Amino acid sequence: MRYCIPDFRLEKFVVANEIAYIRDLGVHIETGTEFGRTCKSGKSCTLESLKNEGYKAVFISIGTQKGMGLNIPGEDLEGVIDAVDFLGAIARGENLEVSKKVAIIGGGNSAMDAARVAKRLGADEVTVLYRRSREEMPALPDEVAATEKEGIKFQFLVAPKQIIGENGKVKAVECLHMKLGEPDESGRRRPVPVSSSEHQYAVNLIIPALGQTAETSCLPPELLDEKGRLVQVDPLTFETKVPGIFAGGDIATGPASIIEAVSAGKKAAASIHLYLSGKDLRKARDENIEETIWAKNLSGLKKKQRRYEAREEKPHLSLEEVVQYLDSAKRNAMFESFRCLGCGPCAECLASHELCEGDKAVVEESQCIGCNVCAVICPYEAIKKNENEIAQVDETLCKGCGVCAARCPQNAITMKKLTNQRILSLALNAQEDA
Amino acid sequence: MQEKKIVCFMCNMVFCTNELQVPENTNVARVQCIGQMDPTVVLDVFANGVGGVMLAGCRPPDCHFVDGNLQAERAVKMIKKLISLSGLDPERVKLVWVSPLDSGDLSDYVKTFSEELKEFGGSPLKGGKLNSKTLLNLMAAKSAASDFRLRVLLGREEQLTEIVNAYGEKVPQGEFDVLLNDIAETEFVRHKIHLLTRAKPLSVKALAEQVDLKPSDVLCHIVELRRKNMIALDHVEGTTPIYKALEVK
Repeated sequence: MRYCIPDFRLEKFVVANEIAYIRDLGVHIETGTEFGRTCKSGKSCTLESLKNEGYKAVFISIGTQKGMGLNIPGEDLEGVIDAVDFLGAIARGENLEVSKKVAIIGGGNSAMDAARVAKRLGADEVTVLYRRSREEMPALPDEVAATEKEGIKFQFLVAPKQIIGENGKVKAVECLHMKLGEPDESGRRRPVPVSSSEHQYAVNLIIPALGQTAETSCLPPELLDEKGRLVQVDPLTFETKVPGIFAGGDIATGPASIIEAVSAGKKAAASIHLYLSGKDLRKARDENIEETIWAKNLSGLKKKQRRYEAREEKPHLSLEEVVQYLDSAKRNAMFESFRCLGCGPCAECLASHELCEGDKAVVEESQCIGCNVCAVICPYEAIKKNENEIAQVDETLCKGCGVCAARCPQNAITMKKLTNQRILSLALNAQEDA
Repeated sequence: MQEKKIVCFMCNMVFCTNELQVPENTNVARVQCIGQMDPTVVLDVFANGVGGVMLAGCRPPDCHFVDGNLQAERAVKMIKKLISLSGLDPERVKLVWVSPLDSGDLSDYVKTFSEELKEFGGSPLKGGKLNSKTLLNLMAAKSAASDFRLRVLLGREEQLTEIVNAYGEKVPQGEFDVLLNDIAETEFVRHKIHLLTRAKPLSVKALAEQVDLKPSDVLCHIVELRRKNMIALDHVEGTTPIYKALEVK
C-alpha cells in the first residue's frame, strides 16, 4: 500500500493512520527484520525460531511483491524496470530519471499507475502497449479514462517480442500484432500473434506491468501449493497445511484488492483466536462475526420503499488543473504564513530562532510623560498606562513591530533588539554586516 | 564609508527568500515592520550622503502587524515634507507596496527607483561631501522629527482623522495634512535656529538671513524657543541681543 500504490490514488497519511490504529491497539511491530533465512547481520527470523521463542500461531501475509518478468530477449538491458520496482522507488523518494519516451507493457491498474507516474515525472510521450483490446483490459474503466485524459497513448493488440538495445541501453521494443482468438479459462479472448507483423517502437524506458508474483523462496516448501507460487490455505479458516500457521492476502489468493486482504485478515484473526483457545476451527466458527448491524428493527427497514438515485459523478481534474491548483495552493500557503501573529506555539520549531526577531518594546520610565500615543497606536493593545500614568508594555502581547518606538514623542520607547541605531547601521553597512 | 546611492528598508515579511537579488549600488536593511521606520532614521541616512531611500512594505490590507504599513505611509508623508524643506527632492524617498505573491524581485523595484533618481542626478554628494547647508538642514529636520510636536501629531493622525479627537470631532484628512505641513515647517525652522545658535551665538538679524525669514518671524520663533528652554540670551552687543542655544535635556 505504501510503496506500490501512488499517492494520487491512496494518500500516504491514510496508510500511516491505519498502521497507527493497529499499533495503538497494542500490536508490536518489528520492522527491519528479515524473514525466512538466518542472516548474521541485522535481525532475522524463521518459522522455527518464532516457535522456539514461544509464538503459538503465525500469520503470513507477505503479499506478492515481485513483478512478473517479460521473458523476452533484452529484458536485462538498462532502461527496463518493472512497474512494482518503479512505483516502489518513486514512493521511497528515489530520484529516477524518466527519459523522453516511455512504454508501459500491460493493461492492469498497475500499468495505469505507472503510466501516470511516468507522465508526472516529465516523460514526453508515454504509451501503453496491451496485447488484447480495450474491452479486455483488467484495469478499471475509470482508471483507463483518467489515464487517457492525461495524454497517455494506448496501443492495443500488440505484444512485445524482443527489446532492442544499444550500448546496453534500451533503444526500441519490437512488437507483434495480435488478433483475438477463442476465450481462455479467464473468459477473455486469447490473443493470437499475427505472423510476420513485427514492428518497432522507439523508446528509452520500458516498464513491464504484467502482474505480480510472490517471493516464495523464504517460505518452507510444505506450505506452498503444487506450482510453488502461492501459499496453500483452507479458504474458510485460512490455516495452512501446518497447524498454527495461517496465511492470507495476496500470498494466499494471488494479486487481489486491499479489501480482500483486509477480509482475509479478519477471518484469519477469528481462526487464530479459536486455535489459541483450543477450539475446532470449523465447528466453533461463528459465521456472523463480520456483521455489524446498526438498525435494531430490521423488518421495519425492509418495508420502507427506497429510491435509489445514481451517484453524483465526482469531478475529475485534469493534470494541468491539478498542477495549477497545487501552484495556487503553494502560493496561498506562503501568503497565509505571512499573516502569522507570532503567538508562540511555533516556538518548538528550532528554525524560528534564526528567522524571527522576537523583539520587544522597552519603556524608559523616567522619560515617559503618559501622552498615550503608544497605547493608541499599538495594534495589539500591548501598551497601557499604569497607575503612575506611565506606559507599560505587556510583554506577552507585544509582537515587536516597533511602531510605538517610531512614534513616541519623548523617544522613551526603544526596541530591545532592532533599535533605531541598529537600523541605521544596517542601512549604512548592510553589505559588511551580511 | 563605501558610497551607496540607494538604501532600501524592507519589511521582514515582504520577501520570503533570503537570497535577494540586489543591485550593486543598494544597501538593504530588513526591519520588523515598515511601520517601525522612525523618520529620524531616514533623515540620518540622507545625512550620510545616500541618494535615495526606498521603503518596501506589505501591500495593504495585508500587514503582519495589522496596520504597520499604513503607519509607514503616514510617516513617509512627513519625511517627504521634511526632505523638501531641507532642499532635497521629496521624490528621493519612495514607499513601495510589495506583496509576497508578486512575481517580481526587489531588484525590479530598485531598478525603477534608480531610473527615477537619475533625474535628480544620483547622489546629493558633491565630491564625497554633502553640501554643508543641506547637511545642516537635514540635521535640523532630524531634530524636528525627533521632537515632541511632530511625533505626537504623527502618532495621533489615525486617532484624529479616522476615529475622533477629544471633542468627538473627526478631522478631515485634508485639514490634517495642512496642519502637519504647517507644523513641520515651523518645527523645522525652530530646530534650525537651535542648531545655528548652538554652533555660535547669533543675533536675530543674522539668523533671519540664514533661515531666509523676516526678522520679526524669527523673533516669534525665538520667543517660543525661550519658553521651551531651548535658547537663552547670551549677551548684548551694543543694542543687539545675541542668543545661544541651551542643551536640551
